[in-house]
Amino acid sequence: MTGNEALAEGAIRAGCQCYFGYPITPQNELTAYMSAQMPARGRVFIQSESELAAISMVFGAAAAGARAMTTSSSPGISLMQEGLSYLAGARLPAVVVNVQRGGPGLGSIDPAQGDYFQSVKSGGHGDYHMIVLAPTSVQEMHDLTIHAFRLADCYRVPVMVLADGRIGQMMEPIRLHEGPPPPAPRKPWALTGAAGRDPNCVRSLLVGEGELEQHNYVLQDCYRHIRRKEIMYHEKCVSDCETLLVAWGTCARLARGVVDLARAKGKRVGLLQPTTLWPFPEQRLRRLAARVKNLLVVEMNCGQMLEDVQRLAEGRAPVHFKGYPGGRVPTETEILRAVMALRPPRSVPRRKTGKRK
Amino acid sequence: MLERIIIAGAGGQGSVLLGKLMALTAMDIFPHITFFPAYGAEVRGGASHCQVVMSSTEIASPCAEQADALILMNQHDAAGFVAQLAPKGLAVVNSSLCHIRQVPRGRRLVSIPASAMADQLGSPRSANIVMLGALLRHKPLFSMAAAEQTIRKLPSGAPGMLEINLRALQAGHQAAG
Repeated sequence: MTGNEALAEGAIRAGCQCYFGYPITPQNELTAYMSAQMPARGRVFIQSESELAAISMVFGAAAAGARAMTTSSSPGISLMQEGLSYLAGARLPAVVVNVQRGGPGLGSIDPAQGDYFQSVKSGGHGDYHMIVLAPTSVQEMHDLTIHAFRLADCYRVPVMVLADGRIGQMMEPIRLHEGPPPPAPRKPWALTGAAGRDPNCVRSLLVGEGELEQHNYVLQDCYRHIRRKEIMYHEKCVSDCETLLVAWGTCARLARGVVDLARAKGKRVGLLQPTTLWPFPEQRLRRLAARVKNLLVVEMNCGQMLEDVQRLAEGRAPVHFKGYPGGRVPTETEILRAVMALRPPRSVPRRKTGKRK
Repeated sequence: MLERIIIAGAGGQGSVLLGKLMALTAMDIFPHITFFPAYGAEVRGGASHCQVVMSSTEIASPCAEQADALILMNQHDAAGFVAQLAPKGLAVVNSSLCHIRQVPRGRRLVSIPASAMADQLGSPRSANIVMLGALLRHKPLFSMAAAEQTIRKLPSGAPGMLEINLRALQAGHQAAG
């Protein structure tokens, strides 16, 4: 299965009832898979007339209480930012997938990681966050999508699966989820027809005195809760490492190989691989930064997660960076070379203090 | 065990399909397999290649920097791909469209006119299957029977296509002897 297909099948097995999407490379296998599978299983598939329409259809379906998803790639996700902000404002659960490609602009159809800022710093307007999950394999494309639906329903937030063209188009054998879909919580706020009850209202326009301020505090409470409960990350060989690689998505996968190669050359290297980019594994990174000699961030961009790592390392260890923008996927050898070139930081010479007599 | 395979050609020559076919067939033999394609925006023409990595241990990087086997469908960037051949690596070249005549020392070269052979069989599109037959002769990643089984599962396409493909597999296997 390709990563795109594994993700699509994950959504179906997670109980996704409605899919809306507009084709774009490198995620077309996903839309194609949904176009065949959703109607065949009695669910909704609509190829929308644009990305704006797709995200608005997701809004409508989510407001009606359905599990809904849209998918696109970088330029298409840019078009959806308004809708994402509205979903967050209206507290609607939804899953949005970005199989990133090179940018800015139409860029290229090659894999890239240039949308980190847009995803984790909320690309739309207003004080909101999405949960952002970063798969590194075809299996994780499948598993994290199922997890995304659980999180979306649990917290009433949009959840983004942030993949890239490499993982989307790569094929690997996987184990499909066989259990039931994640339990769907009751949705008393949903627009399900007001027979026998007062009408519900789903909106993000709150103009009453202090209403929007209070609403924002509710959102922030929710985000605090997510930060406490939902951080996920993987580690490799961190217990004794002197150099800590920090990487996500495709780069994390390459970095796993680099850890082995560098250790074979006698260099004590470890890897921290955030699975949730928001919430970021902040405490874990702080703790590791306090005991390693160097940090090396590797991304397929010009330094985006880098800024979070620098912020969290707080100068405890130097943070180095290796970036590959514009749709270029680095090789293990290139990253290994950067790792091997790192030297322990020169320590600040301490003033000698003579023994007191 | 680790086998890194690169298949390169022009869009429309079936390089990516051949990679998928090999990955699917190898699934019963290797616990870890990755496949990924790289192609341009064109549907036909333009460069197109894919990589298949088959391994008995976890595959970190799906991008092979060196190839244990190389299938060259045409001339495009052929020299660049040949430079990626690992020691003891095998290059299978479609001599109808690719003019590579030698490979670096310690590597093996198998040349067959796959496009011309496929043409004679009645379908120029089956050149990729001819190449698979030739590869399996010198690098039995999996049995011919297993390859045949996967070919039978391909979407049928034009009538008679399956039979031509099965003959193409055998023809490539024999011609590479």
